[in-house]
Amino acid sequence: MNELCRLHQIHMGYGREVVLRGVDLPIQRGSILGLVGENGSGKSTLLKILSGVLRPDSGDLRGAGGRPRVGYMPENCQWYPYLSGAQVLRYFASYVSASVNDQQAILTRVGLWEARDKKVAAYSKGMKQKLGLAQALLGAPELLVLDEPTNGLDPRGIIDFYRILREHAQAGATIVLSSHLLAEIEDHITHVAFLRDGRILRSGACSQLVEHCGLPSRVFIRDEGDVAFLQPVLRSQGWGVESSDHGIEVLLPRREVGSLLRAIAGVRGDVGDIEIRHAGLNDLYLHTFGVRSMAAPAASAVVDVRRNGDV
Amino acid sequence: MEPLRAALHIAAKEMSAHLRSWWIVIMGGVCALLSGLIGTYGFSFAAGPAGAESVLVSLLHLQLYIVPLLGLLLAYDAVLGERESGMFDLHLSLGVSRWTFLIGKWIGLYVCLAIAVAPGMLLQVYAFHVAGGGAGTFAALLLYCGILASAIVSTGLLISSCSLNRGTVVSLAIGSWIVLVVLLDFLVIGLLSATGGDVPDWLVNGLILVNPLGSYRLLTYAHFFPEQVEPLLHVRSVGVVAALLMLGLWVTVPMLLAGRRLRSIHRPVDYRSQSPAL
Repeated sequence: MNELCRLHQIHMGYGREVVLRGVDLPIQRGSILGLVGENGSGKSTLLKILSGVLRPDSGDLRGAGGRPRVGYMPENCQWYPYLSGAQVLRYFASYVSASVNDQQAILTRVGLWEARDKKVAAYSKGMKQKLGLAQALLGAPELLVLDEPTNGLDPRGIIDFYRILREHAQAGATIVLSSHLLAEIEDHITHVAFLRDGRILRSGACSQLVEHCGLPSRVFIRDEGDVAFLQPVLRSQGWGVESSDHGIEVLLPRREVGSLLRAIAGVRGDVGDIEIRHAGLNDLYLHTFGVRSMAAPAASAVVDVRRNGDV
Repeated sequence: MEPLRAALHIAAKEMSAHLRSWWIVIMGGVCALLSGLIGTYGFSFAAGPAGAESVLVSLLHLQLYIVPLLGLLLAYDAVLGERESGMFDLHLSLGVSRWTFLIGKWIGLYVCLAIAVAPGMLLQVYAFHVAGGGAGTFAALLLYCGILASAIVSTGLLISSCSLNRGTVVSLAIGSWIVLVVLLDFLVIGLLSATGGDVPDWLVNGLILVNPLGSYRLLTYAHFFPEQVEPLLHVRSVGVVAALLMLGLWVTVPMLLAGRRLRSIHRPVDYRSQSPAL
């Protein structure tokens, strides 16, 4: 996977308010990058710079092949209420020379074909979001920039939305999207960038970041009977072990989960229930932002515990 | 898309947006009604040149109220609405420049304004013709009216670009209409009254010229009634050229300021190519 483009040392402010402070962000070709951060962290500004709407105070966009074709979906787009969905799409299609067939295919793909002749004023928020996606897809863009794209979509709409994104990513498009919903984007993004106070705290491929941060997988072992006898066996392997509801919880690197299962099978083959939870975007977020989870110890603390071999 | 085509595309959309709304029809109807009344009023004086002059003076004043009112009403939302709805950002992401966007808006609004005043103008043509006015005189009136409309549309676009706060923009539009149509004239009249006319020509001329409506009035009066205007309005040293120049500035300067304002808010991205070794 090579870089499509790179935001290089981006500084940006509105008047006296500094919004972005030296952002460096490579964007890998064919990736789906999730931009995650608190409100006011600079996500929308960064997306506007990426889509060509804003020029930063300093820094620039760099790319090997010049400026990529961009499809941009702004946050909370209101569209032209007096036009129908099809008319809105036709209006914007003219700028990218998208054919009528393309417009029809896109309207069908995003699920707006039936409502194409309805005035946008009568559209629900979810339908406006779908229209936003349709507009962004016009002209087969190399880079899709989507600001909070699933706001207002129903569950079915969200599933369809990510299916469409995956199809486009598989076809070679690069996608950058912002969202507050970690659980929603987790299964769909390949890369993530965490933004706080205008700075990128951490970015990269999700799996690599989890590994790099040493975030452990959690294996919950539950049984009707007592499984406490497993604790010393597992601790002897160097894994962190804690008591949990109706069983024990083991903290270990993802690559060692197989070894754990073999070890359990070696001691007792009929353990009732084993649940494996690999560290994900939520753990990465908590780790990056230094937030201590209510449900579990912070990942950094877990790593320290394991290193000390004590719980 | 090429800039010119993009501008015309935006203009067509702007026209379609305004022509769908009822108020432009209503304003056009009001304009037509006023024109009809003035025409009728003009007939009541006398037929022939005197009647034509009465109608002409009335029509000149009617344009002074109607054109700025309609122009500002049409234009105040032109940029503000697009920025509020996110459509302006979308245009920029599609490679439409701020200037293309503004010029497209300007063309669309200008045509809409022309359509709004057209019914009134048709009645005026008829009234003017019946009163004995010549076609050439009316063509000149149309030309000056067109220049005034250009200045008002530019001013409206500047006002619309000034802020993202709708209340501020509406206040600016209403305030501008009051200042241009009423207050600046009162200022000149008040100054002349207070000093008994003992005011330097350059000051009176300047105060008249700085107002696009004043320039328009000066231009039309200097064209149609030169012998009456000169002693009354201290225009001895002010010619048609100066008034035209001033109106030209009112067309271009607000557009430049609007472009500058949008540029300061939404600056275009400078995309740097980099070697593939990146």
